[in-house]
Amino acid sequence: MSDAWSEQIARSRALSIALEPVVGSVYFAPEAHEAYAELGFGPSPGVAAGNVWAASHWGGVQLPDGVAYFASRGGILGQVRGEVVAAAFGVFNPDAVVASIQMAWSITDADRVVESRTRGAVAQLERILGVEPEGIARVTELLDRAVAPLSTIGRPMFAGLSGLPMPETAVGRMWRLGDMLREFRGDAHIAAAADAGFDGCQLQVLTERAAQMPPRSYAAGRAWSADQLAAAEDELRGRGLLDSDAVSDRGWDARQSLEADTDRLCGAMVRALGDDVIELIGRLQPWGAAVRSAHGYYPSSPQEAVLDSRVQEWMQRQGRASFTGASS
Amino acid sequence: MDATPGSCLVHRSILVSASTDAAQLFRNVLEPIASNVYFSPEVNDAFETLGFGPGVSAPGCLTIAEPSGYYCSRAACMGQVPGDVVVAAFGVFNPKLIVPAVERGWSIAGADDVLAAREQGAIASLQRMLGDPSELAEVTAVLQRAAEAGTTAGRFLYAGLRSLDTPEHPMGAFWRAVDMIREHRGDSHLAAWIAAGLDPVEIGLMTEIYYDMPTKRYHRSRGWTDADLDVGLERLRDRGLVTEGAPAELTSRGRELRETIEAATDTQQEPILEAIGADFDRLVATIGPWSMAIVEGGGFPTSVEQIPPSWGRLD
Repeated sequence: MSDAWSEQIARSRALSIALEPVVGSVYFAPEAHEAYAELGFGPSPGVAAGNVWAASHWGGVQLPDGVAYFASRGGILGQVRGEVVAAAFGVFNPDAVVASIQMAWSITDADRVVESRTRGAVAQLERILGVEPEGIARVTELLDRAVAPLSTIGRPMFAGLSGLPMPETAVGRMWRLGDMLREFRGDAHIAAAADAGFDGCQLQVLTERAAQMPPRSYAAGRAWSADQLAAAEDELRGRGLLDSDAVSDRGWDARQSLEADTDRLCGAMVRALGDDVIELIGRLQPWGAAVRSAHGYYPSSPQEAVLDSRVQEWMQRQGRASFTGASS
Repeated sequence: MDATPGSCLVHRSILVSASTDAAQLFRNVLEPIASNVYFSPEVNDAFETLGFGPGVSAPGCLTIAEPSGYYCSRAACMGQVPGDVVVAAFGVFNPKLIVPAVERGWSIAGADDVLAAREQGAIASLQRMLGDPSELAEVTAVLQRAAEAGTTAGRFLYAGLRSLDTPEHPMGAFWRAVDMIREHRGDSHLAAWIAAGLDPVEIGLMTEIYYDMPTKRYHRSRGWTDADLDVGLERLRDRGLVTEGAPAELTSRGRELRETIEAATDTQQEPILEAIGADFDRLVATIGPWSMAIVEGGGFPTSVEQIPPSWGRLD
């Protein structure tokens, strides 16, 4: 794929970064953790502890129980096998996903855990933003316009969400549409990574190093074993993408190119929004900040962790606040 | 069956000529073995026992599994997933065709029963055509090594097949390994054309033109109507990928893009071919004739004309 930077790439990236804390907050919602515990899953393990990096990375959010996380997000695909959840999520050790899904389907079924997910996500957002936050109708209208042209072909998580009933509250509708955009991008990202020849472990290691995180911090959090991480590092070194333990210039470029390919594959949603994408980003940003202040999402999303400085420049030109991530 | 070029069509010359491209040769050799399951009387009987309709036929055509049986039996390895997810994973079929057909299928039989019928039928069908070859165990060991070397991230049908227990029957174990390698390639191909920013109608039309197949014929069987295909052709013209006029030809840019996608698909098979390593020539020499026996025994089509014209049609 070409490396040409474009207005569309900047728009697509900025939209995903603005959406992330608002819709990705489902994974840190105490209300969702409680709903899963009621179904029989384990409780939230609480805030990250154990090492300085993890405490600072997760920044005081209530982490999800692993089995509940895999089941609640994987259940979007239906009563599906663990290997397929691993294929769709793309970045987790399949062994961990398979064991979790097997356990999950002995506790409950996909419909119930997905219903709890929706309820928990919406309850948290309504607690933080209110049941009728200012501009909710306009944001929902814009999200709906962005979702309308998207195809389910090759996008299993987006496809699964498309088949679910729409939540009935204003915040619920906004969240569902935002989650559809988030998962559409995720599906596109996994397809682009598969096409570029990265397996899940290699992709996580490359992201971790490009983001200047300590070796085997972020990637190890996706349940890869020391042997799997070592094999991925060797492969990336062999491809010239790592120089010893650090990302090489080529590695940085490869990671940026993958993100730009993902942006291109999300072109239909930003084209549908036209210049209104700038308004949408502006309306989402204060909501994301409010969610983060209430520990509903962690300080720096994966997209922000490998942020291209051109995205910050684009935001400044639109008169919008910069994103929180460190850029290189 | 996806838009892999000629995936439903294997020409004799491909098998007898020594292709310079191992990945392409391997695909052509495996395809009739993996996909006989869709053209098998034993499988169709097993589906009928579950309550699905009989196989679909027409004069001069092979008998293909009825659509709900085809879609559900191929998707069942992923679990009893909703039609929307089947659409996403198959890639080339019209959602308007798949979603109701899958819903209907799951109302007839559950995923586990469909999988069992598919496996039982596939074994019986392959045994009828191949007998009990003495090299089966040796070949299966090599194919299993290859099948396990693939990558699951972003490959949904391959991941589903990997989740299943290996069939106990030797022919079943052989067929499963072949099916895994086939779906790994299909999933990879889907990732490649999705990553290239194409939709299923566009890649389908480009494939038909590239391989000199009659335009629209194959992709009508994927539920796309004339109107869908005409609009798709127009989009390809607008992007400078096909020529004006009829029949449309690929422009040099269109040809280059189609070849890039095929090469990207081939590249994604490297871990599998590496796992076969030095056993490749012997493997192909052994199972190539089995593949031809299936084609010659009417277990797999040699041309799109052998697919019943009404199958999978929405219009």
